[in-house]
Amino acid sequence: MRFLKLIIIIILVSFQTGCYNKTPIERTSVLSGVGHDIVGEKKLSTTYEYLVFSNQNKITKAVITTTGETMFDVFNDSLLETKKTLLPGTLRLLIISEDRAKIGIQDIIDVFLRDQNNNLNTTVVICKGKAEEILKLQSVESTTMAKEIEDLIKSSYESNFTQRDTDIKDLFNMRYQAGRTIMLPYVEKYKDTVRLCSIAVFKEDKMIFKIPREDLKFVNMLRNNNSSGYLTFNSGGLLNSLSLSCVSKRKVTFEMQGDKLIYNIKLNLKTLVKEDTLKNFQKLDRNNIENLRKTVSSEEKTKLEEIIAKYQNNLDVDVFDIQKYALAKLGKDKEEFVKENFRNSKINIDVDIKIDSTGRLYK
Amino acid sequence: MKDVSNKITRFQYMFIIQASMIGLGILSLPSSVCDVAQQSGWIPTLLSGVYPLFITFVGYIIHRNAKFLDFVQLNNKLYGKILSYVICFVFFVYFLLQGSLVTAGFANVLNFSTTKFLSPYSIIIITILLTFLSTNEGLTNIGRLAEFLFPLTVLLIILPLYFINRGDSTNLLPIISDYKLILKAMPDTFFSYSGVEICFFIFPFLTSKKKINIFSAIGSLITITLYTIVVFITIYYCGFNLTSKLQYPLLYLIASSEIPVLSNFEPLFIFLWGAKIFLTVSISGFIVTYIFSQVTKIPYYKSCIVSFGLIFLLSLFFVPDYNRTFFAGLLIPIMFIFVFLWSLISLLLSFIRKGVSK
Repeated sequence: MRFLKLIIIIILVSFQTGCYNKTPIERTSVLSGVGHDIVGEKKLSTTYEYLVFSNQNKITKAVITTTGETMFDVFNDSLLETKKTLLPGTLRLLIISEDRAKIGIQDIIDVFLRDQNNNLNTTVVICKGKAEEILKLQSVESTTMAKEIEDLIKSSYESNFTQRDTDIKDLFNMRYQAGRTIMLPYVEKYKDTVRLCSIAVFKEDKMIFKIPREDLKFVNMLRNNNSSGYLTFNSGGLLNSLSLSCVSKRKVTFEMQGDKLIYNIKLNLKTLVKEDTLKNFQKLDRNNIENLRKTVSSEEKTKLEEIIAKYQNNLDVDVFDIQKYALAKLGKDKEEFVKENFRNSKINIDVDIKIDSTGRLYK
Repeated sequence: MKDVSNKITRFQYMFIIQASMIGLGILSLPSSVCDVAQQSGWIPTLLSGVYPLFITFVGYIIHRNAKFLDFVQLNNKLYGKILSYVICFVFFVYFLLQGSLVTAGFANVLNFSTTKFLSPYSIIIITILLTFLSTNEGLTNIGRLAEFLFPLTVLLIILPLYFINRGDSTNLLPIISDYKLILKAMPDTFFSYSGVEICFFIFPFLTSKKKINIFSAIGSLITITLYTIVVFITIYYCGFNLTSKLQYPLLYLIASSEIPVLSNFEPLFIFLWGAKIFLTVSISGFIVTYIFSQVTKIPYYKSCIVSFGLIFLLSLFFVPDYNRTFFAGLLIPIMFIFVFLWSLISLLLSFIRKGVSK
């Protein structure tokens, strides 16, 4: 009796599976990149890059672009052109053009957050010019441009102290967590491929500016915890420099003195000497290393102070991701107050460079 | 029809208590708590843990004073016959609602996440059939199931810990910004622990009643820990603002994990959690059946068919999730207050009537 019941259940369950009215697998296509642009004043345009499996060993890509008033207008029209059903869950890259980002990306955030089908580990970048043009480039190192740009972003963690929070879930976090600013990697077309050249900074959901290339390393260093990169100290002329490879740890504390907001950023850099052609010291022994450490620390500190002054006073934007520490102390309802007083607040920076090893040489 | 066996051991009792509280709350609780208590949402969750501890303790005392009578006889003794019928009816409706809300919610979640191709109604039918099969042999069977499925709970606790160093501690600070908000969020978290009232019914079936409070406490504490960890980690990773926007924050959290090989951890999680849901529905279903057969004197197996039929029909009403949350928000608080008052009054009466029975 019990066995019979179980059999009934199993048969019933197996009838529930099946793919009636679903697209067969040979008629689906893997969506790899989506680019968002704006055409003229009021028209959105979206570019889809997807894989084409032409025969068993040959995989190529195809790109289509459609325009419309809303994101799903565009998507709807794209279905009129595509020959295969695009699966959204496989998306590797979301690329948004600078012009599109400047009018706001709230609709993109909403669509990607709302739709359960969408992958949360999609990489997001902002690009110079049109996203369409970038996705239409022929990829050299991978099948699709989307994969290539994703690889570019993921491999950039190794240098320049680049941020690691480049996925779409991090974008949601930056958008909705108290006291944070959206900052996304900014890529541009370079020769016949792309390169990472800056960081796009947002105010709420609208992009306001990008960080110039010369400031990039220092802004990154101030913003990111647990990032790595190279520091070079040059004392005039070629072949006369000191290079350190560093892993930085950031610690931020916040205090209030009267009505003044004070942020203390402490950077601990663990470094390895990679190159030393300064010829300042005969031998890198304990005393000399201590001297070296002090000089480079103070040099780095001055540079970072300049950067802080520039972004705090001239642009009044928290590109260092420190307002959240103020809100953690004052309470989440003080967001307006902290933002208004950002320009008048004091940011202290303390750099501590530790030299762990001088490599094979000690001279 | 053969007699049903309802005897359970103390360990099985512990696992039943633990499983009876896990429902949809685990998926949606962070959202509703963060909406009110903001970043300190995990504190009301922890504090509300007093409720299951209190209910199991009070339940034990009532039953000890009344010499472990059946629930219907207990009410007859404490309140008299007419009031007893009313009380039994309310408990019947309460567990009927619990069962059907969970079933409908389960169908909604499945339909929303992994099995989009199935209609929620067919999910409900299969859930009801499965839970019916596990219930119609009595509580012993459910006890065994609870024992067997317990390791899944451990997995459910471990999964969120994956995010332990991926979040940001600033999301949790300041730990308490407003005491009023925490108190305001307490009712919502109390509801997530509802279902523990099953202990009023199953005390008489225990084979041994020694140190039963410890078993109750451990069972409740496991679920309290699970809930608190889930809320804590969700706020820690997403921040309260995003958490309060999401319908099922835990599913979002699971979906955002990057695990090699698996492209998405969500279906696996739903599979683990689904097994717990079958158990929760079975437990509610058992109570509904039990009350029904005790009051109407209809044999257990037949009442099982009737009660699961009722659960099935009711759960059809709750199918879009906004429908379910609307009715849950409307009905559960009233029932909840009733159950709470019943336990307090019965506690008092059980002390008064203790002498009478002697």
